[in-house]
Amino acid sequence: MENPAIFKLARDARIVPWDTPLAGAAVVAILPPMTGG
Amino acid sequence: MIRVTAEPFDPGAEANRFQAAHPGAGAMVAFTGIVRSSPDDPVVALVLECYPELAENEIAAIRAAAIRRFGLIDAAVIHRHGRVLAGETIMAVLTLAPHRQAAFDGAQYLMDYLKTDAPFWKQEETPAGTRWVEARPADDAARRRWSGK
Repeated sequence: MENPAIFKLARDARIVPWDTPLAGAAVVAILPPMTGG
Repeated sequence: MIRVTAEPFDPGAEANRFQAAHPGAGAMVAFTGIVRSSPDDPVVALVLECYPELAENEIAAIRAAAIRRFGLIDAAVIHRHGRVLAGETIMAVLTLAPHRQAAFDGAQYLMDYLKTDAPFWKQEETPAGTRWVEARPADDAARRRWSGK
């Protein structure tokens, strides 16, 4: 990825830092750039 | 209270209920976000995509931080997802505090963080077609003003 900072990582429905261990997670998602609420 | 919902809601009724539940408060701020449309930039509807459980968790974290930071009595966020027509309510932020400044600051903090950190993706439907809405640098700047405090 050219600019990974614009993507976010989610583990079990929480946004987490990219270095968060993913073992044991039920759901993992990589989120594209968000618009916000 | 956090609610991420596909259903329309009445922001006035929500504010009245919220206020009535906290009779000791001295100030309440109620902010309502509305789908914007203008003659120069007409919008038919806004489609908000989200993963509701993730959105609720992230909004709950922002709400908890606002309550802690400004000593709020309570705060509530109600946010629509799905297709919302121009002129309809997208979201409401409610803050209750002993005094007005904390209620105003808490509401602004919540709005500034929601505009940048709430995991939603928006697509505008216009008479000319659809377009994805991108994050705005002005929203990032508004959020940054809180990081120094």
